[in-house]
Amino acid sequence: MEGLWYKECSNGRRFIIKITPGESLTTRLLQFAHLTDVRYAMIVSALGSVKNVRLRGIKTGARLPITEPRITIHDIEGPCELLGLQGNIVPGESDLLDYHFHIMMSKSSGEVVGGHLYDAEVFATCEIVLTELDVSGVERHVSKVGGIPTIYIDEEAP
Amino acid sequence: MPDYKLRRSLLYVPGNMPSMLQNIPIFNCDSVIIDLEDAVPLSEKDAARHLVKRFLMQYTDRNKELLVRINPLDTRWGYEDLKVVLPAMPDGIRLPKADTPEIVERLDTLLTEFEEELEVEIGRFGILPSLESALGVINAVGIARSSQRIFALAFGAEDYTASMEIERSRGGEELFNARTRVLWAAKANGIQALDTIFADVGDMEGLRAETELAKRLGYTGKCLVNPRQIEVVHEVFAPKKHEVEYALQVIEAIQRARQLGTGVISLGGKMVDAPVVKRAARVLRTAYAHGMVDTLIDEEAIHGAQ
Repeated sequence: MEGLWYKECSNGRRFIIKITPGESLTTRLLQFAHLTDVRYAMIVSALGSVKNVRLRGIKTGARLPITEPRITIHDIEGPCELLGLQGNIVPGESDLLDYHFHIMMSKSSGEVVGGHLYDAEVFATCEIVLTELDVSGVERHVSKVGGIPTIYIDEEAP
Repeated sequence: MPDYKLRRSLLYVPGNMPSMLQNIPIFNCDSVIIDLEDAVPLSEKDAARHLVKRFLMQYTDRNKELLVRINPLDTRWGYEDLKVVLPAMPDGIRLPKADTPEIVERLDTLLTEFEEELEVEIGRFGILPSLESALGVINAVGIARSSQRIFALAFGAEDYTASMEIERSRGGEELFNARTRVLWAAKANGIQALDTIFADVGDMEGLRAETELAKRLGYTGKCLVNPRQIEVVHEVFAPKKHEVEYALQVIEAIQRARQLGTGVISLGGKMVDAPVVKRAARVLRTAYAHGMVDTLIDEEAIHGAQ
């Protein structure tokens, strides 16, 4: 189909996960996926609180590829209420698991901030529903056009 | 660490006047802002940018900071100004009508594009946003934080008063609030604050008074419209001799205090503590930049590692 790539998938196992205070959210999720032999997954729901969050925003007017000068990195101490986390876990280079997460959270003022998540530390708790995807032929590679890792489907060239 | 570069005087030079451009090397100002915006009539916009490019390319033995005021990015001239002038390697861009952080960020990303194209270091070109409206003043903090390229904020009173629908007075009380808000944003972000022009080039006493006010508030430089204003502005911004002498005494006193293992010491009946030392260090940094002292103070040795 012109302008997009797709592949049908179905849901496999579904997990409810609790990550304890002080843990790295991204590290623990990847470790969990590895331990349970999950190769493809999608976050269905995530709630809790986080601190020491590092995330990225893309600068106004930026063009592709997305490179360091075109982004702004934000380090937010928090703690903040975790309002949502979206993203996927897909094998990357050398068949290692990789993730792409976007986070949304609120400060004490009620101000909501978010963006592309690099990492966050769980503050009080983090409750996640993760669903396994039954699929093959999907991998994560760095896009020459976009400049960032993104999923590729079968014969699609990076 | 605050920017050590002296920017006491930033002289506007019309970008469409060859005779003025050729005089840039002999002006004694710290910076020049070559103007492609308000000083250039519409019919000469295209010719002016090429003239500026030619001048910059020929001006290789540079003795001052060279900035170019481009047209606003939302005009049909703004992007072309960048495209033509940047290959001639000005030091930075003065961005007019910088009302929001997004406008500055847009310039930041454009400069990144050009730096990659020109194969120069990312961050090579600085940005001097000009806050010229009520909206710009309100957004001053966000603007100051919007790019690592920003080395100073400039307050533009002429456009500000126009946007506020008020007249500019000799005393400047109508500017006080806006001036301080721009200044606070600059100081809070560790960058310089540069004051607006003084348009009456025949009134040197008025220029002196306004410059002294700006200095008292915390501004470290002033934009100028005539070379004859340079000397007065430099005189005002230079530390006074007695200020430098006192600062040297403070540093000597605090060094004695550290040898004695105390954080404070008395000097002339007055306590010398951290804020006094900080102020003295600032005076000496400025004096060093003015060539009034030979050695840049080692602040870590004074304050200790943070």
